[in-house]
Amino acid sequence: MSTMRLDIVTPDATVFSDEVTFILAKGVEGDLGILPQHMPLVTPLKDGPVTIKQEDREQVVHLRGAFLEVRKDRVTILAEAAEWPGR
Amino acid sequence: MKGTREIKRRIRSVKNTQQITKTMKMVAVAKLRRAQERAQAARPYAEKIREVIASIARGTKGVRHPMLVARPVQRTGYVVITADRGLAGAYNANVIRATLKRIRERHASEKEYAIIAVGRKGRDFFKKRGYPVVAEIVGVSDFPTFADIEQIAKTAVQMYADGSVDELVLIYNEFVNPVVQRPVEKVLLPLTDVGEAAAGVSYEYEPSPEAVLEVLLPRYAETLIYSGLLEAKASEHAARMTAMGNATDNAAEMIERLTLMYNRARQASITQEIAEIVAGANALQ
Repeated sequence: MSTMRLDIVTPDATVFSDEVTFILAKGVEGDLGILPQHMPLVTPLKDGPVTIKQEDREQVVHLRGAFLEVRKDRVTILAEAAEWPGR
Repeated sequence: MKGTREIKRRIRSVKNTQQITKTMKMVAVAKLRRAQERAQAARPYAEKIREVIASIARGTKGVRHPMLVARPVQRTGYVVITADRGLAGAYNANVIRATLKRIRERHASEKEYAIIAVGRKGRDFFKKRGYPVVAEIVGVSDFPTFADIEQIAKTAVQMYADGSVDELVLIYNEFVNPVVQRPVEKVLLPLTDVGEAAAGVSYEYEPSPEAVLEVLLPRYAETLIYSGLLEAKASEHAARMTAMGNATDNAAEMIERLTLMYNRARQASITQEIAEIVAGANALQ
């Protein structure tokens, strides 16, 4: 299964950096599902949960003031704040 | 010559002070290291935003945004970052002096500028002297998070956006290395130079390049204020480290001098005593 690199960066630190298979996020224009080889895209995200699927697990992170940048096999999410449930 | 008892008391007092300055120095060393790490950790975020802005500015022709264009300056906003506490050498004085100098050079009346004060020392100084302080924040932690200063950063950027200032300047102590910090003035807004974009990526923007810029530009300016603050904090600890190191050395020197003085006084009094005893014994014969 192909993967892409996801980095979630806040002003305080890089909170996530790993290979993922699928990302589900709420863009300002609607929900976005991102698979590897997605076309390059930049969009702000609505505040709320982002689902990250990896080969063996799935997790949800809540973001505020985020925006998403997609390059061929690399996705970067910049957020003002990120919270992980149960962490 | 002073009595031996006074000198002894003096030595004890200087020793106490030395202990305090020595501890403060060691605390500053530890904090400096952490502050530097924090400044390092904030870098990727600012860098990434800059990259995207640069690629929008480059990739899409004719994109205009008020934050990217210089306009005639009628009023300037100064974000002045000082420390909450003193005992850091010339740290606070340098920033305040740089600010005053710029204000004197550029502005004829109080209507032409506004001060946004970060840190107690700067706020107290400007408020006491009646400078126009429009926003302030004090009690920022030694290792601030973005959330700590978000409010003031947003206020500052908003002032530019709604036209109440036409230029936003950040004044703080730049961290050159642990022994050199110098006050710098950085123009935050308008962003006239966003640098080079990483080549070879042409993005799709949703909903539109302009809308993305609308979100990113204020964010970027806030981030610049935040990284300025982190750097200023690192400078503060470095300045305190140097100042307290010097104070400790001076105390050591002083103790040495006082000890010499004490021994001389002690010897003199012993000599005198012997002379008196001998004189007394001679008188009896």
